[in-house]
Amino acid sequence: MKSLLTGHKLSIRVLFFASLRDAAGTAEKHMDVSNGVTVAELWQQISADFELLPENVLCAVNQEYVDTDYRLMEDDYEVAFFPPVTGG
Amino acid sequence: MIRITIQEKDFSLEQEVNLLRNGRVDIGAIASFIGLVRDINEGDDVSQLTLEHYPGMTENQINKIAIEAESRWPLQAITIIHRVGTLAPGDQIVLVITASSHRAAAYEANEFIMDYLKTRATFWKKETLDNRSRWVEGRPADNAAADRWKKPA
Repeated sequence: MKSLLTGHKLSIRVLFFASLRDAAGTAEKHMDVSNGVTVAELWQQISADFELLPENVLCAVNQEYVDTDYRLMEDDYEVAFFPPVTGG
Repeated sequence: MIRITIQEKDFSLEQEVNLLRNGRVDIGAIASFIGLVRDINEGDDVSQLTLEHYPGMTENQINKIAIEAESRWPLQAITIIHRVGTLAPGDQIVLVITASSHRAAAYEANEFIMDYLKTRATFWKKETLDNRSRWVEGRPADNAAADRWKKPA
């Protein structure tokens, strides 16, 4: 928690897959975000000008599923947003 | 032993079973599941199916599912192959092989792996119809199928 209030920025990669990549118009972007921001807040910021979003958006940080209240910290370098999976 | 492969090329059930057995004689039961591309989905003719995935995360998620299966059933070997890229109706998409001393474990673990793979593994399907394409949406029934394996709290 020590770094929550320092105000410095995290440099992250944000990845989009499937229909979200189409909505984003890109597969990947680099962003500087506030330390401690939740992935839900990040998603709101990113998706403000997206159209046709799927009903459910899933999120992974460093390739592990996370809940929407997950807070990004210093070791979090890769955040991915994607629709429900449809493999198998 | 767990073997997980994400690949564009097709697979052969016979080859994979032989590879899994590899001369072992302690295996008493092998169950296999093969998922195929259907020619009709949601009432529309499908001419192609394109599968993409999240490299790295996909393998990690499938590996976790396989380890979970090993912790629940006495398994001797697991092979999971999932294809990506562009496929046609009738093509093989996914193969799950489970081996155990007895059949109940092989059957149940196989179904468990497929149910979790469908809801956790980071693959997405896009269908090509006559003159358009669309992303396949996740099915609530798949979540229900995975939920039945949840252990009571």
